[in-house]
Amino acid sequence: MKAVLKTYTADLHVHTTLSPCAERQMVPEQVFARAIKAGIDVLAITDHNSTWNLPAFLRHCPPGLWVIPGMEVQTKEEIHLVCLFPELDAAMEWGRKVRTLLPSVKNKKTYFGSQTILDGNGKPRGEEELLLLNSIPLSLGETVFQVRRLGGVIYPAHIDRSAFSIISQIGFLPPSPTFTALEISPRVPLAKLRQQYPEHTLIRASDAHALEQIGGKPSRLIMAELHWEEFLLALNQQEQRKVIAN
Amino acid sequence: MTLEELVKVIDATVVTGHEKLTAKIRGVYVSDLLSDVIGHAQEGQVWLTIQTHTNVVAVALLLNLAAIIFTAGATPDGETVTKAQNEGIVLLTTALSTYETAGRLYRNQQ
Repeated sequence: MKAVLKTYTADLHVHTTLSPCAERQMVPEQVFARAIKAGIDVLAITDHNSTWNLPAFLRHCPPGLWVIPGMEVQTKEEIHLVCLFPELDAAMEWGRKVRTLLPSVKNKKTYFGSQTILDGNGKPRGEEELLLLNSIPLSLGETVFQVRRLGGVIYPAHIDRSAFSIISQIGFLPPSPTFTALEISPRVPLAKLRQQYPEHTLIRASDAHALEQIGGKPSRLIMAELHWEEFLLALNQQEQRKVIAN
Repeated sequence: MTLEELVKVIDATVVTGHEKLTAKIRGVYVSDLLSDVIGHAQEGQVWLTIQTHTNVVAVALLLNLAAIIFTAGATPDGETVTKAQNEGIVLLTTALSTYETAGRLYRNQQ
């Protein structure tokens, strides 16, 4: 029997209070309320180099909304990549690995902002003391290998941006490692990037650091259901599943 | 060398921090990777870079650098200038290449 495909609305790049540059209202209750208001069905939580707030967000996930545990990692080359995992355990394992690799430079709240860790109720529980806006000492290739080994999906973030993107740091898409998907920023015109990267799945995501940015220019996921295997098919444009960037 | 002397040596333009030019510099660091600067630059050094986005100011504050010098004609973003003004960070620009800038500073070091 052929599965009936549906259209889901996704924002696959959202920061929380753990990211120093994000607003303090980026807590589960408010993020989810805003996501639902924006018609989002799939939301990925992707803080800079940390997964410490994933339990708070996954525990408070409202029915009907699929929250994917993730991270926005920064490699040695200062390339940002979105990492997404099928379940919390794998994401947390990657989070612990990244924590051991982070340089021992402490955050200065007054310069970079707070890195607030939330408890199970979404209330502040403490601070990540190491600076998260930093690079882990793994290369692009090593990072991709490790995330994929843990069963995760990884692809370059905001490739059109002039800082912290694979294009700004390397100058072009290197032949290896290969990516099926590339993330683009809310404002960049789609046609130009479509032309530049005709073979790739383009994912438009908000990279929200503030509530009102959530769900701005979301992507559509054409899938049979809200399920990881379906999501993988969509990323790989297989069996009629696909991602449509607006 | 003071920042005032440095400005002459590398034909720099002072963007922000005119009041701080009498400060003595404690060395020079050259890098365009912010994480590398965070990890290796030392307090009181001047930093040569072509990175102009606002994060450079936070890095300079974190390490208490004497100045950020944008080389090769790079000019800081408006937001970067505003932030540097507010935080009291010295921003300089020079049309000289990074190589020429570093070379002149090396030759004149004392």
